[in-house]
Amino acid sequence: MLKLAQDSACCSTETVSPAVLEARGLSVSIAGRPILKDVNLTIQPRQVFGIIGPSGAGKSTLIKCFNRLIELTPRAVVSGDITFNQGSILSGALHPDDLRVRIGMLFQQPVVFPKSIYQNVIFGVRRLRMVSRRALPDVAEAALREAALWEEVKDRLTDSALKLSVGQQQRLCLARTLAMQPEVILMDEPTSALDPRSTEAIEQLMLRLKERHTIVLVTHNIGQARRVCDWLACVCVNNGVGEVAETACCDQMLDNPCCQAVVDYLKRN
Amino acid sequence: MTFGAILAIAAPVLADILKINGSTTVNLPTAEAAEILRAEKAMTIQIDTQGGSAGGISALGDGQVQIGMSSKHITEQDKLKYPSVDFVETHIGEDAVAMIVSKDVWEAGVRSLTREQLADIYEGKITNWKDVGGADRRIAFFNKEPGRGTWEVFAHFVYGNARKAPPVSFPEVGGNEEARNKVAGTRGALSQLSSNWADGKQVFALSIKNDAGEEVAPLAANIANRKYPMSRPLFLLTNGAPSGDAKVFIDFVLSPRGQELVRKHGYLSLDQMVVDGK
Amino acid sequence: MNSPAVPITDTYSVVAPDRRRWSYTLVFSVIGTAVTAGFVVGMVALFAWQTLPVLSHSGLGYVTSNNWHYRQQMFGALSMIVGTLLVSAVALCVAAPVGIGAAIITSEFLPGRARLMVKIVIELLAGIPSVVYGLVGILYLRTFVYDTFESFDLHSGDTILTAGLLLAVMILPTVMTLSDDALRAVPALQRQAARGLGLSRLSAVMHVALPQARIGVIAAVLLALGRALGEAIAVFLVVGRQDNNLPTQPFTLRPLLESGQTLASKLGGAEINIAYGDPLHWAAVVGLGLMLLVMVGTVTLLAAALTSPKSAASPPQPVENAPKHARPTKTHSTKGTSDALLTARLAQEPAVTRLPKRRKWLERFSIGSFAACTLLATGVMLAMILAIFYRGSSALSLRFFTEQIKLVGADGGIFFNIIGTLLLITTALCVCTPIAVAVALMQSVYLRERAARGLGMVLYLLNGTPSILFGLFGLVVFVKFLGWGKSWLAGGILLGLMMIPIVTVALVERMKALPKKYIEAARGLGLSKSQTVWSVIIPQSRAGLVTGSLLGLARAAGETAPIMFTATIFAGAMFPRGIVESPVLSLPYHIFILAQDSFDPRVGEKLWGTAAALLMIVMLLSLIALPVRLRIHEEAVSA
Repeated sequence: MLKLAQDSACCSTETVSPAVLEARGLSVSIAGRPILKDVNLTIQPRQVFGIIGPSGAGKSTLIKCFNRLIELTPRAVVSGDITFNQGSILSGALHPDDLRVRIGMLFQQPVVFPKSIYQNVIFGVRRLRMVSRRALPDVAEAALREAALWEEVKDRLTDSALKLSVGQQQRLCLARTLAMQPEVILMDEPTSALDPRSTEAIEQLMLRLKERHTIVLVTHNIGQARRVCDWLACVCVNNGVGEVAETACCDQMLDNPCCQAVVDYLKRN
Repeated sequence: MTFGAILAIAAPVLADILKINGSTTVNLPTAEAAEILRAEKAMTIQIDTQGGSAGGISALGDGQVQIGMSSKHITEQDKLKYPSVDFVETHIGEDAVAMIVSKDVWEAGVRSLTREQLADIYEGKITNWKDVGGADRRIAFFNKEPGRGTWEVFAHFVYGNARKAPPVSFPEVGGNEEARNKVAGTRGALSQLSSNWADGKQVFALSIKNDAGEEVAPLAANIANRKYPMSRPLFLLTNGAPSGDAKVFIDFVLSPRGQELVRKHGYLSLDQMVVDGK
Repeated sequence: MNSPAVPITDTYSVVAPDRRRWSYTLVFSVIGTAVTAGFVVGMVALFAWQTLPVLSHSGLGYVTSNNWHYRQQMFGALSMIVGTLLVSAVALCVAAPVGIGAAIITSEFLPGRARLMVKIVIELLAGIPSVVYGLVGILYLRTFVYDTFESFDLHSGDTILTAGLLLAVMILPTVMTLSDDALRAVPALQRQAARGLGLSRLSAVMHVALPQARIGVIAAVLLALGRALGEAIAVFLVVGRQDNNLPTQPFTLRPLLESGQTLASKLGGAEINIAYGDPLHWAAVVGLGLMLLVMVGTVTLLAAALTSPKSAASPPQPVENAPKHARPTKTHSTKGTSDALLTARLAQEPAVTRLPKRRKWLERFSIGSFAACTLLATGVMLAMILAIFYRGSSALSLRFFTEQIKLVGADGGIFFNIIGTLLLITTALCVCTPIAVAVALMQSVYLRERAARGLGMVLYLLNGTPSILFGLFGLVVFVKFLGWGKSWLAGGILLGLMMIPIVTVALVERMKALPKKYIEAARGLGLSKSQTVWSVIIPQSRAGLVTGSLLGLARAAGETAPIMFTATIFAGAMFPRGIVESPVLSLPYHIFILAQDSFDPRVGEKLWGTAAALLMIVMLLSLIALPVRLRIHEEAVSA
């Protein structure tokens, strides 16, 4: 069934470039309770790869596996494998902290640090000493521009980041991640806390960012998925455990789903 | 108002309790005597040792206790401070204050000090044992804390009058065990301490060298004939002549059984003293 | 008011509820609060008034000159002030890093169960009475310091350093527990965001959690400082008590290796008794208490102000180091639209970013040293308890608990000491409970915002007041003014006053956690405020009352300073038969006296036995409270 979905060549990205991220037989359980079972995904570079599905199906758990943030959850056990640029991330060759530098993440709620806007942007690059001190302002500016926040904050970089609106805070978080120049950006329902205007701004950004980055987006908003995603995976609950019901290019999935679980899910939304 | 009522209820009970406070030195035989009397005569006796002899005198002066324990005489000052109190001293025994030293000092050969040497040490003019015939080591002097009978005897001997003792700054020790413990655990230590606490194993009592060059040790014979200069009487103090429970108590301490307790704790009982009628 | 026109049922009739204009509950609450606030204000006023004679005698020299010779009527307390500061500084320098390091481990690195174990050990460490610390200090620490610094030619093992180290152990639990709370109050999301950026676990703690918890951590250190400044009994036993020994060689180790005197240790000594009848000398002594109160009060109120909800609500986000280089960017930000620039930017090669640099060795070293701090803190605690029980075990027998003291402590048991301590803490409980309930109601039901914060400050202040000052207050009021002499009731009242903040805070914490819907449901039935208090709020907060009381009792049972002048004597007291002149024996005072005075080697064994017995009582009380306390605590912190 999966094969069928993937093989149905309906999208433009037929040219098979090597996958950036690939999950093979990935299963996750937390405190002995299985959350995800046997997930297989292939994520191509410079795409927005969406993950949709009913809430509680394990979408957030899945996305956290890609940068191994899931390991911060107590008693979480991950089996199977994930490869990043053809190398296994679970094998230990790449330290999880270094992995997270290359695979950035944006959370549901914007999490800014109670510091100035400027300090927030350069937080990661400065702490990990990834640029020279002199280059920090340039990096900050570049990242803020890339996150389309520069014009709004350029005159008050020293203000507390907590004074920004929620939408601006989320873009600040994006800038903070962009400053590290990650290859992949994981976004876990990044607009669920935002108003429509800010949502639109973020969506615009995603479309631009995919020129240089790969984006993995968890969303519960079908409209958003349609607007920004190239490929979609739908995670559904089967016997109490989350499974990837279908993977397909965006239009295929939304207009013509193969799997009954996906049909049901789309109907409800 | 409530307090008044409480006072009224509490007052009649008071007569039954004999309260004693003062010198830790006098406390040893006194406390044991109290234990016997509690058992044999069902007396209620409370004993405390706050503030040493001075604490005993002021507690008696303030009317907090019926008997004060003191290892020094009542002074004119005390009488001025409590004009309405008629202090009566009952002599129950005699104790010597020894200058005690730690083992290393004793083994380095220091056996005695003169009065002048003691004054110089007290005033900080001599700070090293080598100046008084010992090894090259700093003198760690522990001063008995103010108000203690032991200190008064020392000051009386060295300066003739406790009030003439100059103000000094030394680490202070309070109770006898504390002094013994600290001297035993410190190299080059010197302190004033009741002589019977010098066990000859951890702490050692020095002799006092008198003007004739004679070394007088704090031994019973020397204390009895007053040849050892730093001895002191042990008193039970009362306001007026002892009466009631206080009299029963003091009579017991003066009885042969009580005097036996005085000897047991290393002091001289009255019959061991060459009583000169003073 | 009239009976319903159509009775719903014949089986019963309802009566109109009785409505009073004022409620006894409010009156009760006001009285309890007035007693508490009155005590704090009264103590300050009393000390200030009693101090006046010495101020007119010595003037400013009372605090600026270094000559305390009471026989010469010279009262200059400078060396004691300096001594107090030095001892506390040593304690802080040791306890703050170790405590914060250990808190980082417990809050950030330990898994749930191990964290709980460490927490329990630390809670127990917090409960050890100061006189027991003093005892351990005399027998182990002073020898340790004396031998370690032998090359410095010490006068003895009683030094500022010894006292400071002992205090460090005593305040360690305060630093550790409160820092742990502060760290755990930082939202987990913040750490997760930092980890998501690729920061290591330690960096996330050091650069995100710790900076955000800094106010709580500073408050923890300040509260610990308050305790260090005011500790009398333990310091008394190891500081050397040398008057007028002002350090002559600052900026060296030397001042720390000298004997000294602190304000509190002076108050714990014999001069109180000597000064008692002499107005000038007495004023000088009470003035030391006043100075101590001012010092501790300042520190405590500072901590309270830092952590008060007001400053937490509008975080004074100090915007740190403004980017020096951020300015020039303005010049080229004017040209073009952001879109154009973005495209331009995107076309550029990635800037100067390079691979993250990690200092693995530094990280390992830091975590290692924090872990060492945790081990040190828990190890010291376990070692102390083991040492006390090991040395005391030979004395522990049935006879020891059922007989009275004989031979000045060398023989017999501690029956009446246990009775006395139990009587004191029972009285304290009876005094404290109604007042604490009244104050807690005032705080969480009747007062709003500002006033509640003010009352919170009073509680903070009361909690920080050194126990020796309760003793001094009791000596003035009960012994001197009321003429009670030594009385168990005076001791019980003082210990009860001391317990108020502990019990009140536990109660308020519980009342705050009470779901609003219960109160709304009760009020919805037409119950008045005071009826709601007694039918809903107080029954639901029982757990807070019980745990608070147990903790308060554990502290009260081990206190020496408040009762040594007012309630307890060394020997001869049995069951009190009245109030005036009715002292009791007690366990902590027994240890305090025997530690200084014993004539018989057998006393040593009894001494440790007594310490073990006291420790058992205290630990029993805190252990009973522990499960509920930890649960409430976690709820409160995570809320």
